[in-house]
Amino acid sequence: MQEPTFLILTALAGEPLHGYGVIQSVASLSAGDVKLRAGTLYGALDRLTEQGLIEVDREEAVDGRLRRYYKLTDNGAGALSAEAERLRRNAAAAETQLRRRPLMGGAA
Amino acid sequence: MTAAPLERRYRRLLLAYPGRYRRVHGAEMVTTLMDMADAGQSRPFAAEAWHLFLGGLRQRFRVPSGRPLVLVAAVLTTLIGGGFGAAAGSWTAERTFTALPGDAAVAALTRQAAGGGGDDFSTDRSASPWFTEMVLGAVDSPGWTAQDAERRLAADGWRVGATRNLAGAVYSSSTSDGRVERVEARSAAFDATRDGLLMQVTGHVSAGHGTVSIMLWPADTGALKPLTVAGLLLGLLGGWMVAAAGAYRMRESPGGRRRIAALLAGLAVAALATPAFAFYINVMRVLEASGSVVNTVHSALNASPYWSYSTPWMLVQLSVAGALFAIVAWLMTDRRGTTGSAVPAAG
Repeated sequence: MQEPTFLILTALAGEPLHGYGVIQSVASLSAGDVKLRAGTLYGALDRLTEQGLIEVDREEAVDGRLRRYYKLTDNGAGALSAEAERLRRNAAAAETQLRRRPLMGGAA
Repeated sequence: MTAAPLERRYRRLLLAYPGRYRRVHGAEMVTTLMDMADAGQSRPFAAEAWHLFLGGLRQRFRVPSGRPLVLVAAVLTTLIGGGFGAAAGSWTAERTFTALPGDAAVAALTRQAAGGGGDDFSTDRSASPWFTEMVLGAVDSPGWTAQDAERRLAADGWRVGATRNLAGAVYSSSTSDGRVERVEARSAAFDATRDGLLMQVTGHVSAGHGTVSIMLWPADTGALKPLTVAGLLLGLLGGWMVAAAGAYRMRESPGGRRRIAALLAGLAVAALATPAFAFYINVMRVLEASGSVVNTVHSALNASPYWSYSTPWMLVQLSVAGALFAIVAWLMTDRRGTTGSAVPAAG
């Protein structure tokens, strides 16, 4: 799972969001590292809907503009939690390895 | 309320996306783009516009994910598109070739090469599955010599090549008891070219007889290879895009229709694969062309059996049948079944 996909699913895990909401949420979740463009976002939303990981929650019209809210499906929650578990395992492994790293430098 | 200039420009950029995608996501994308815009912004930033344009193009090449059969069908459709594209390119190139003369002109030219000749003129047009159309003319002309023929043609503007003296004998079955007998003969041939036409003149002269024949075919104008390759590449591209669009149309159709459309699409691929295969063989012949005959790709559709076990019209019949299956499959999958709000057409 690519990082933007992971972050989009993460954003939708908490509450249903519309497009701009997802972009803002992903930016804050990644501490500003990932700034999604509209084209990328909707390409991902389309693909994730196709894969059954997310679905349309509701539609609202605000000032004559369509806002469509997306939410995570049960499948999506499963996929996200599996991915989170995998990342946690990898992160833990990395920390363990780093602790075994001999200290560099020193005269000896 | 009229749309703001920025919104209009975004809508226009979204035209890069396939229609299906625009119908599903167009309206919400405009909303999001407007949400992201700075206050007072009147046109998209260049990077943003470029990103939307490329994103739209990429979407046109996407096939539904997680469907191995769709992927196989898309690859086959791509290859079929390439074969038919190469044939279309080769056909277009042939339009730039000099047209073969009519029967009267062929008769006149045969007599010019023969230096008159008897009244037994005969002509034949051959349709080959591999190369351009050729026309033959033959007439009886005792006492013919290659030198005289070359002089006559050169005087009429033909660029004449060197004379080739051929092995000196013909076999004649004209004896009364039907036996074939060997008759000593003087045989010679030469090539000539004028106004984009290539001509081969051959004469077999024996005692009291002289058969002079010409064979005419158009020369390549240099357009054949580039247009064939261009057609091939465009065909591959188009084949994939048709498969991608078709796969989404199919996905959005109700189950019963989808199954029939899938069956028809399968039949279309099966029918079109054979002519496409013949086109690819011809592409190889075009690319490694040597000798004087001009190989073409689309000639595979000529009324002449491509393989010894095929009928003269087999490849044409398969092409037409395949095209019909494909068109019906396309029309069966109704794109209006999509969900989502329609985007008004961009001004």
